[in-house]
Amino acid sequence: MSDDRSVILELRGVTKHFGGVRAVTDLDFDVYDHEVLGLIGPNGAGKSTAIDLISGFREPDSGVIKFDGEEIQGWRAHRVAARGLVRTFQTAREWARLTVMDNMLVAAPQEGRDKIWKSVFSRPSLRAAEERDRIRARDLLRRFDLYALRDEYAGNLSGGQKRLLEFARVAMLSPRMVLLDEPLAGVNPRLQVNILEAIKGLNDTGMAIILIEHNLPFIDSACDRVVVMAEGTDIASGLMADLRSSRAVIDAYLGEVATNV
Amino acid sequence: MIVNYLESLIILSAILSLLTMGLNVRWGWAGEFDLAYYAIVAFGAYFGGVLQLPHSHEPTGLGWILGLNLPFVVGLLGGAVIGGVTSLLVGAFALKSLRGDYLSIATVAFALVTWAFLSQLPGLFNGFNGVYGMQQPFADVFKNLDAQTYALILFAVCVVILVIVYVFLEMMYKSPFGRTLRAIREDEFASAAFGRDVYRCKLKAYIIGGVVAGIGGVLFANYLGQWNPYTWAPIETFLLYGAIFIGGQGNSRGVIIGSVILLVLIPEVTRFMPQVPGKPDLFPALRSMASAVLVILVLRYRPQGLLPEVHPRDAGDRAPAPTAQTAGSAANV
Repeated sequence: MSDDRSVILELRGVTKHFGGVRAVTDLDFDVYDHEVLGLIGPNGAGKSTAIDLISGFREPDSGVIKFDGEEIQGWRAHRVAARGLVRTFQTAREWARLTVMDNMLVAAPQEGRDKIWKSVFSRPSLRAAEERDRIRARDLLRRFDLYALRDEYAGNLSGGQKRLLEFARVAMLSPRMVLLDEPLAGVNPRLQVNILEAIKGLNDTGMAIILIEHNLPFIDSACDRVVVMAEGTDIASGLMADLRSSRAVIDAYLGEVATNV
Repeated sequence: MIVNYLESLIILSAILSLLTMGLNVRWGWAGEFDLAYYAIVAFGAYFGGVLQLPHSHEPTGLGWILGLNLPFVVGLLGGAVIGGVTSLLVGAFALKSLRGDYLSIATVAFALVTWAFLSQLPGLFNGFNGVYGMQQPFADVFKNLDAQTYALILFAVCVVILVIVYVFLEMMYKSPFGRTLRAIREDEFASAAFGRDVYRCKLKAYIIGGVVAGIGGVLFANYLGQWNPYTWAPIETFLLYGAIFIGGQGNSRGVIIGSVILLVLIPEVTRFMPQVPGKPDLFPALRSMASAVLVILVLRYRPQGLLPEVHPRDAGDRAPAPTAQTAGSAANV
């Protein structure tokens, strides 16, 4: 079904070992434009390392990572992000002693605005740009129910609110693709539906998304396709419904969960 | 008499506030606990000195380099440049791969090595004897003035430089550049994930701090008329940190207040205490203890400092919310 869509992210033979630990070995998968791809697997399967490799927080030992037609393996994180591929972390990483509004303004695309000389010689145009950002930020904060908290230091928010702020920041930057590393971690179950709405909202604006999550019903409702990882490599991919009956997947992941219960 | 004394206090306050403001760019804005700072101040002071001083007349192998006999303004600019350049060199190595405690360890090592090196090397900045004979700023221009009127000139020079540096730093602090630095201070991984070149931004902050350190160093050396290993020590960086803690990390005005309290008022208030017979070191020791106790009390009871970092307020929408077409999602909570 996805074959007629263009591929935005392509991994081929991506490998990363830490000493003797084979964290990721020969990982291959594609992400299509505008899709939500679930990345699942047991603990230690290499999902987070894979995210680190794609986003430039770690450098792969070998393999090719192609984003939007350009090879990005080995790029540093800020360059990957500037190219339009943004990630989040397992724990919400807000800028704690910045206000919620300032968090949004930092997340806004800068287009070279944060040059030192501009802070002295280009003040009127900076002010105008900031006013435009503020208007957009207020609108987004209202959607994420954070508007009333916009002057609060982000560090004072609850765990769920910090997650919503993270989504608001991603929406503010509006990248081509976002990698969400366990967005439900530390979130009150009642807020899960809001997170699901937020993911769908980002996806509706055209963003491609990789979603790492242990909560399989959540993956089921959020994702188009799923890639299953085990022991550092991809062992299956497809629709969640089909994967439930796959022997390899059951052995690697679902089976393990089942025997644990 | 009393006017002269007050003037000298304000001059000293202005110079020390300048030094603390430069460190505040590194620590208060970018969050780097840098301990090389006073070595950068010293490089600025020495270099500004040898630009202004005549050729050294010490015996061969001693004395100082350059000795170009240039005016004060050139010395000041030279000190600023050398402060920036040494910061670039130190920062390019230290900030590239070191964070937190490791950066502090590397930079304190740099400061100690620099101190030992400059003390022991007789032909660079005249070793332990240091450079001396610097004129007070513009003393050559106003040589017909009596000391009291001249003090006003020095006073004006220091205050004007302080105000100029303050205005520039405030513009940077409030700009997107300053906001990026604060984001890096709070979480550098998230900043990188949102497209910020963390290393470059930290290096820029480090260099800006170094330029201010160089300017402050030249002013200080010209005020003292000399600069040698006895007038500075790497440990003095900690006193500047104390001033930042008291005043308020990140707030330039607070940092000025902290500098005045810790670096000028406490030493001056205790200066006129009567000597205890047979114990000449008692009051200087008590003075150091009073400073330390003050820093501890502030950290314990008002950790954000006397003037905390300004908490910006968003004006909010003037009109009722428009239904914007901007990218985003509908989290209907």
